[in-house]
Amino acid sequence: MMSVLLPLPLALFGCAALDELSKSGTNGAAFDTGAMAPGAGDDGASGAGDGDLPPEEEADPLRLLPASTATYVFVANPDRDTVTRIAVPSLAVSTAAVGAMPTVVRTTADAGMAVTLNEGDDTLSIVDAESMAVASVPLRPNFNALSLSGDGQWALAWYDPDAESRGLSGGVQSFNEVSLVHLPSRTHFPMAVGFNPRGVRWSEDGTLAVIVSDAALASLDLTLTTPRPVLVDLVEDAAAAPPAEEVELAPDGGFAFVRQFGSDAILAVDLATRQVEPIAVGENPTDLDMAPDGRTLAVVSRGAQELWVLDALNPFGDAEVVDLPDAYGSLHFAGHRAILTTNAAALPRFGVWDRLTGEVVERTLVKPVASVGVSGDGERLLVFHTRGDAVGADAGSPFTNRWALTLVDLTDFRQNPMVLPAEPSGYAVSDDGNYGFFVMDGRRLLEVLDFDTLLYEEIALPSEPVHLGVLPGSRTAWVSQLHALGRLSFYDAATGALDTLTGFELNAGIQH
Amino acid sequence: MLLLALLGCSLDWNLPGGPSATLALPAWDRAVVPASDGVYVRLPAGGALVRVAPDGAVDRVDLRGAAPDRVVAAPDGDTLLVFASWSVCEDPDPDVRTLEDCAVDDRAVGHELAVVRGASVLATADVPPQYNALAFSGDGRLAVAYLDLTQAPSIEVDGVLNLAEAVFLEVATGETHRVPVGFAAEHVLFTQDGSAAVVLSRNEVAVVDLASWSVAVRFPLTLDVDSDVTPRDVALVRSEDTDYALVTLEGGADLYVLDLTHESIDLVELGGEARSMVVDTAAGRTFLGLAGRSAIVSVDHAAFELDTVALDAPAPVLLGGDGMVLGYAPGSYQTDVVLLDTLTGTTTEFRAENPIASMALLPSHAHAVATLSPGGSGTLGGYHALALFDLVAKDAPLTLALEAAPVGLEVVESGGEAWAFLLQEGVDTLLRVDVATGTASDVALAAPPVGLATMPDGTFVVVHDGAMGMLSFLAPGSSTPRAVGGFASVGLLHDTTLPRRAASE
Repeated sequence: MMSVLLPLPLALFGCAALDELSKSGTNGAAFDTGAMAPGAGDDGASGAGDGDLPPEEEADPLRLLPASTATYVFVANPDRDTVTRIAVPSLAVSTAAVGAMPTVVRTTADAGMAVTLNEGDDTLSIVDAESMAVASVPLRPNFNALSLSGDGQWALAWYDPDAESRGLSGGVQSFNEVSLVHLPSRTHFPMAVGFNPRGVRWSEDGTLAVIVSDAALASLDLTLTTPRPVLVDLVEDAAAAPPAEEVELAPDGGFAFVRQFGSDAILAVDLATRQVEPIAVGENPTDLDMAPDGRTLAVVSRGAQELWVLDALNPFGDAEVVDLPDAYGSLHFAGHRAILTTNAAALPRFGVWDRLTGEVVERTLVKPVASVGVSGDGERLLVFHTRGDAVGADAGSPFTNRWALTLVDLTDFRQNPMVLPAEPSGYAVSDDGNYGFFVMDGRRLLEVLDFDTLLYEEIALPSEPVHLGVLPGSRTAWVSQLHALGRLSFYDAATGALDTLTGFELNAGIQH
Repeated sequence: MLLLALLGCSLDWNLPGGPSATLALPAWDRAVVPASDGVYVRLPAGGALVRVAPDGAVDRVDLRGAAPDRVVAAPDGDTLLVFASWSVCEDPDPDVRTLEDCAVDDRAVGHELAVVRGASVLATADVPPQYNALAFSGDGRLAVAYLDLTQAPSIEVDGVLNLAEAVFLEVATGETHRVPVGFAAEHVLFTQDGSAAVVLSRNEVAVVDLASWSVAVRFPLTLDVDSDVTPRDVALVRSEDTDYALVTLEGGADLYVLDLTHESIDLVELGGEARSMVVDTAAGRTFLGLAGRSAIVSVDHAAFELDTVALDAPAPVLLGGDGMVLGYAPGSYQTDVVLLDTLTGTTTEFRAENPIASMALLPSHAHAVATLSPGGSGTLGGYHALALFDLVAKDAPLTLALEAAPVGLEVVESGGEAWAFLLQEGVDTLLRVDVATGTASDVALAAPPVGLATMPDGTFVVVHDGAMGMLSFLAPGSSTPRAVGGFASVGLLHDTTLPRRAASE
């Protein structure tokens, strides 16, 4: 399970398997607009109505985010063309030369490989996580985004115009190409798909990938010796195609579902027949999510204040439509519940849809919502608030015009709101769901949240944090920090021990 | 070889060319080198090296006609390394016998490094004479010579000189191994097991494999190719089968922890620039004194986590190890001295009467002796002084006012007693102090003293200002020194025939 912290605003945790496609800018697709747009919540806008509200915003592009397995953290060193592996808990450091200017590093789900996208020489480096042996695979030029399949067999690289690019060659540039790489055999399958590839979704069984572009969906049968894209046009007029914002894949691979910006319908793509059928879901759908059961598809239509629930295996059957008490724009599954929030407006409350009873209840918060997260067991909610206040908020409140966070026990809705000295910049949750971690801008602190007691503890860091994550299967958080020579701290919530490794980038310069 | 300039001279010696003469070179080098078998003295005018024994015996070391340029004692107390040179005429004409017979263009200088033990040359090695720094392995089996640019701002180069090279010398055989260790080497240390040498140079640390005589790994100290990073101090520690090099940098506030075994680097922020470093194996920690910060910091040798002991005043200079650290701030107006028990973490603060000028810690760590500069606010504030610290009883230090500024201090422990011997500027006697009691007495000397040294067995050596050489030997418990003089005459009347011909080299 990926437990990497993404900077706020970011909505999902506890659904980390979905991050590969839509939750991380590094994967090139900011589809789920479930978080707060810049400035939203600070302007005192009312939560009522949809009007000209901005889209829900979920992910910021991140570069040079470390990647971790249960025992290693991998850090790309783009200036030295290396990747550094840090072992936990020994903090032993190993460095391997990869291609030129590695800007993205990912680890496969089986923890067997780290993969770097090297923008300087348009290659993919496949690093054996144990031996640090490196194999290189050439890619098509000018790519800056990378995604790995859940089974660790495949990698897809493409160009994301919304992400920073450090290695543009200045030569011919295509906006339709992707590079598919079979990692075990190091075989490269270059191909052209639709214009502006936005991201990829991999089926859980590893047999299918769908790549969504603005005007087309490409499906790839990964069981073929030579996978080839099967293109399905999403709209008749490709030139006027609205940007695709999210895609979900049915568990049997029969359908892909695409949410487009500004459309009042989602598109159901029959991957067998290549038929595209719109499904009306009410005014202005702003979130599309697959439930953990892999079958229930939920669409939040903010303009209509409705929640549409579809069967991904039978999407054209009768949908369950749930009326929402407010203009919620994002949904987050949490066990048998789903949390409804919006950060497009300064709404100081959240909704809870109980999937067992079908009821939606609202709970008041001290401030509007910037983003939320859910503990692994779905029993605790972590709400990061906007600094701005809701219209009519009590000016004398200690939370007025201050950053804040609220821990919520979803079993009894007990809350522990906290004033924060600075804006949270990232969070992560231990895989067992017992601990949450977050860091704040400019604060040399790691905040540790005990989801059982709803209490927090502050751990002093040597320098300002940048990225935060959790080692899979552990209660150990890692925090990368500002330091000219590289710094990572590891905090074990089980023992309370903090270990820091500083200067690890020097290790890239060790010569034999 | 022209040894003497026969001009007016006041030497009381019958020199060639007349009843009086002036030596172009000093008759003897006051920087004598004590060894276990005597004191070795370089005689520049005579082109000789002699051993002066406490019993008065003087033996010349046969350097095969070479003159000693520099003498360094090995840590074993028995071995010396002697940089030596001799004049050479490259004209093979057999009629050329002296330097004067040789055309100026044919004149050259030969160099070698001689390994000397027991006043005899054991081996010689070809080591560039510009290499001005030597380090030895703990067992004295190996020496390494290198060019320390901080000690030689200008270098005379005759031919090609590799500034990035160090020469490792097997002391027993004189066999050498040249290893490119990095530009501007400054420190060389050997690992405890003797398998590797760690060489600090500008911007990097090289680990030399002493089996293959090659650099096994280089650790960078900076990633910025445009900046120069200069190591200040280094120590080697071993923990659980892992060797670490701990490095501090000039102007840096980090401790670089180099894992030599697993080849990785970690940095520990110290909170200030480290001015000194003491490895305490008993405590399993390394202690660092910081500039301008009232604290002693330490790191353990397992996780290298930082611990800080707050002080009342800065203590940038640390001495000690093996369970204690003594910290002070020389060259300042500070009078504070702190004793840190490294096993318990407890501190004891001492206050001297005057600012600390220098400090000597006795080997047992039971006492320390400090010279004090004028500047204190007490009754002795206007005097130079000597302070005696009892680090066991932890009483207030005993202070002795001095007649004049100290110019030499040696301390020694012998037979359960601790002694300090002090020379003072313009004072013709030697001050002998019982460190435990503070009892002081003057030791009469045969001639005015100019320096002090100590032989490995604790015998004090007083260097006198005698024209033709004079030393006094004083056993620690004795008050009667034995003077030995005249040894600088050795070699003055020597044959000027070129010692080694080019063809014979």
